[in-house]
Amino acid sequence: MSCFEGRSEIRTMHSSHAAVELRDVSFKYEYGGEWALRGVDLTVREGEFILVTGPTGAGKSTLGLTICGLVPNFIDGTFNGEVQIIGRTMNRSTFRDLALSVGIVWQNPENQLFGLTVEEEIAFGLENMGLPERDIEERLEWALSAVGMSAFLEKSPYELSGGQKQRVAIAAVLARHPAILVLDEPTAELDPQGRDDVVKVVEHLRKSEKITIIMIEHRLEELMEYVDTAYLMEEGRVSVQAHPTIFFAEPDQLMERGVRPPQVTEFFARARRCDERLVGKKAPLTLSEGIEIFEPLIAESKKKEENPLEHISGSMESEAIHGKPAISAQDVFFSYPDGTEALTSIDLTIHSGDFVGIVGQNGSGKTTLVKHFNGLLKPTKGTVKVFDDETTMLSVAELSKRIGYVSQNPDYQVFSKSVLEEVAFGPRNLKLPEEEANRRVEEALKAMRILHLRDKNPLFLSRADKQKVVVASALAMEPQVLVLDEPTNALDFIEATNLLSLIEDLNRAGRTVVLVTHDMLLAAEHAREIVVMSQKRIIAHDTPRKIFVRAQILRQASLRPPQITQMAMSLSHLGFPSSILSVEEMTQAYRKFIRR
Amino acid sequence: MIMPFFFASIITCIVTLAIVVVFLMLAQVPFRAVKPFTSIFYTLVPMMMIAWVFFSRHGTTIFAYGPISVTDEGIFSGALNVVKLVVMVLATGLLLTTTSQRDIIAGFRKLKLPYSLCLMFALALRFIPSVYNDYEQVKSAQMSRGFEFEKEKLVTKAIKFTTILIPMLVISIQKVEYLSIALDSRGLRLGRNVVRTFYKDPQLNSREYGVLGSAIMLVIAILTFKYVFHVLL
Repeated sequence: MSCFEGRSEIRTMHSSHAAVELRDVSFKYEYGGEWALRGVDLTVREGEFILVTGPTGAGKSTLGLTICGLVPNFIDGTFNGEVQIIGRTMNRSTFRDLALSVGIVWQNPENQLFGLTVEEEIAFGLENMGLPERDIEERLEWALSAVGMSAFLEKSPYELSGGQKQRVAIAAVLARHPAILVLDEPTAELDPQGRDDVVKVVEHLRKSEKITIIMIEHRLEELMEYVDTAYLMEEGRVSVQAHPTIFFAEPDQLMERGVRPPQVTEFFARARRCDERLVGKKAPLTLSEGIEIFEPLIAESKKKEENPLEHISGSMESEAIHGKPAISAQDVFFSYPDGTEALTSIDLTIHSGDFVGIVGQNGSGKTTLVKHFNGLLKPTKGTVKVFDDETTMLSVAELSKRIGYVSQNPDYQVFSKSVLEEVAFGPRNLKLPEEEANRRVEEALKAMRILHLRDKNPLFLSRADKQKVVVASALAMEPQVLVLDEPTNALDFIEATNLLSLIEDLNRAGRTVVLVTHDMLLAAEHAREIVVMSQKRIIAHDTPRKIFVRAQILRQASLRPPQITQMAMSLSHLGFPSSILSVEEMTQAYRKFIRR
Repeated sequence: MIMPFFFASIITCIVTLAIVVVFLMLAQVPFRAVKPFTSIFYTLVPMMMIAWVFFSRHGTTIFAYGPISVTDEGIFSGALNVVKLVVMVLATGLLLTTTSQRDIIAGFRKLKLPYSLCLMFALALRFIPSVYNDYEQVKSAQMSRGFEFEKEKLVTKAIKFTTILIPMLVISIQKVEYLSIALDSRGLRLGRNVVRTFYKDPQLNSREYGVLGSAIMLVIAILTFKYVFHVLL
């Protein structure tokens, strides 16, 4: 409670001047079909940190582009309404001046960096302003130190990690001294460490430079500490605008609308149904607020009975029954032709029927490892066996009958005029009889629930549907093992859950699944085995329940357990079971605990 | 790099090729550094050979069947164009492996070329490795679906190339869109009246000006021979 009062005090200290004001703004892309924005009203005060969230296609990115003036002054379409930046109306003649006040950073850092060195990258925006050399140097140094990247001046942006690249992108915008910073899913492609880095930099800029922050995101856990006002966008409209505590008061409703609240908030809402002590309390938004609320309640329950219930965690552990080895790597080393080592001493066995999550930081070697499974890469030293056959003895095409590999971005493979043809590409390459090929295609489409899309052009589908098409394409080969490389990267919460439940069905039907991800929530909820990679090595391989309580191993890999696991661990000194993997489990454990 | 376009004799081409190779060796450029550039041979050379050798209508016909006709001139121009391609690609490789992009652009600007042109060239160069990387990724994705590019016959190879080409085009268009927004959001303005400064602008020394001058002279000489004296080199 107290922290929220403090926050509103800070807000009243800001000037009453609006940094951004949108009045009844509508926009339709020239080639877009539907209206992307439908009468948006939005007022952001100077120095405010706002969160814009909502399902894919709600118009969040268009809103960001509108605030920085690129819509409609650079991107064509039909525009109605008015945009004011710091009291001045944005139009064709003021757009160039006002654009200086607004900086934008978006999802993929590679798409926004084009310089050869970090220095050049940042100098570019300043050269465009016509600044003298001395000013450029000053601003360059200031911007880099503000994002903590001063040591990387001479580096090529390509050599940096995802989080570092994103910080350079922020510095490049920052150096132009914007009053407002728009960040469009800046952390979607980053690992937990990278996400933390970016969010901390953004908050630092708001505090010390008084920059107004407009954060467009659907991963909320790291942000909730800082957000002043949260906006929900749906179908081009702002449908909810509220202080975070009010915004998240009914987490269930938000989840139905495609927004995943922080896990502690979701847990609170569920726990409230079985514990009347929580009724009337404000929902926690951060881990520490969650612990603050639940610690006394659990301590109170504990007093009733002295011996803690060990069996809660014990009963939840189901012993894995292993099938025969499907993939086994023995002492595998891999170096790229230019000599960079990418895998070091990998020993790994994946059994038939398993659901294995491979987690690790960006660049830890996850993708390189799974590319060995279907022979796209062959080990420099050591052996990789797929059902008793060494991958060096078989071609990728032969291996593709056993191992279905779905790469990160569906745009890297979709090429056909229809979904049907796209999915039939694989079976045709196998030179299967027409009838058999058709049967497989139909089954794959059914399994991914996209039979109704069969005649649509896959190039114009939504990202979530495209993702299903590429999984179906791999399924049509009828492989025993399905390898998915970051399949949920660009999906929102509902889309990701939906896709993974289909994948779980496949696994239940007997297919081995290997899921590469840096999303610990997904790994914890779906995988039955976790492989942790760090710096080209496997540093741990165990069940999620055992992995996620080993904070040290995770820290070594710059990862961290899901928020709900962290919360359970912080409550374990009161006898609460610590090995909790999902909100569902946490709720069950809590219910049992308080009813003893 | 683009000079071979103006060459008509295979001998001139081979001489140029030799010069480029000697320069590559003098600069001690390892083969793997040039490899990304040479990878386009695998697809372009067969396609060029098909186009020139089998579908040429000029010269004495050696063999003809339906729309296919093999002529002596066809074979010759096929060979000539392949050598031209090799020279162009290796010369590009030589330039890019020995000179930093920043220096190339600085050189361009010292020639008083407009900034928009220099920037365009810089961005094109910057995207070469990224296009190569995209190509590798698309190829891997299609191979994972049982596609055997290497095993295909020449003709079907050209047709099946669409399985790689279409994703490449889609990705390139996306990248260009993002790039244009990125450039614009950093306040890029082009035109005569735009004030733009250059941070840490490198200065050319007299030797560099000398080399630059003689290169320009050489280009002018070749063009003069071709268009003024109609002597084909």
